[in-house]
Amino acid sequence: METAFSELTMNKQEYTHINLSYLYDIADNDIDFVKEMITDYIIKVPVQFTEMQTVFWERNFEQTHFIAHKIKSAFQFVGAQQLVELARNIERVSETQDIETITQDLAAMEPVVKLVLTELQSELSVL
Amino acid sequence: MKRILIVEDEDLILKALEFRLRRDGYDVIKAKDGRDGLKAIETEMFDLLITDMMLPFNNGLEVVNKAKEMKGKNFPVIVLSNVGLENVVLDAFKLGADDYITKPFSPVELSIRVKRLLNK
Repeated sequence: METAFSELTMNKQEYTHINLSYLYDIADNDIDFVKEMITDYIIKVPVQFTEMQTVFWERNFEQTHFIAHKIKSAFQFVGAQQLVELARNIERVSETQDIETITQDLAAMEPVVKLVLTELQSELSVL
Repeated sequence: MKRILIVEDEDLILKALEFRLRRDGYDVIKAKDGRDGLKAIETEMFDLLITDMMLPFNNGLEVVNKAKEMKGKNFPVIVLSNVGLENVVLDAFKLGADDYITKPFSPVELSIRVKRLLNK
């Protein structure tokens, strides 16, 4: 049986690394759309993150900047604010080819990317 | 039914824009990079263009330029941009873009801006 949207929003889980209010706002009561967006994120963002690591290891700063800019939008959708800030910083320092800062930021991002995925999977399981 | 061409390479944004615009009663055509965007401008009939600025292959400025060249200077164009890309938005306005929306976009703002331009 389908769960009513109001019931779901009342029983919303508390998360540490994500805030899904923007996504629910965009979805405007359409739970299928929320599921689709979360599933898309779970499939695509880890691939995009690995691509960003790879292009940085290749010292391709133009692509690092480009992917950081793009992945930031995905983080914004799920309210992963810590990741938004790190991606924004990578985007900024890619322009000056600041290897040390990008290395630190990517290292800081990796565990949070995983935690965000875990929380999204948890949300998906109750939808 | 009015048709809107969206040129956006970021999947989640493209999907969200399409969802909201269809909900508002528009038909939507999608292009996932600048090259496909230019091709769609040449081959498709549509009433409004929404384009990202930072796109693979051909950037948003080229897309805006092509739309104005092919469809006329009064053809409505909205550019999508992130905070920090204000200079690019200004360049888009110089090419004739009519409005802009900052990402992450507000669904209400999107509806209002699209409706305003289509009713001009």
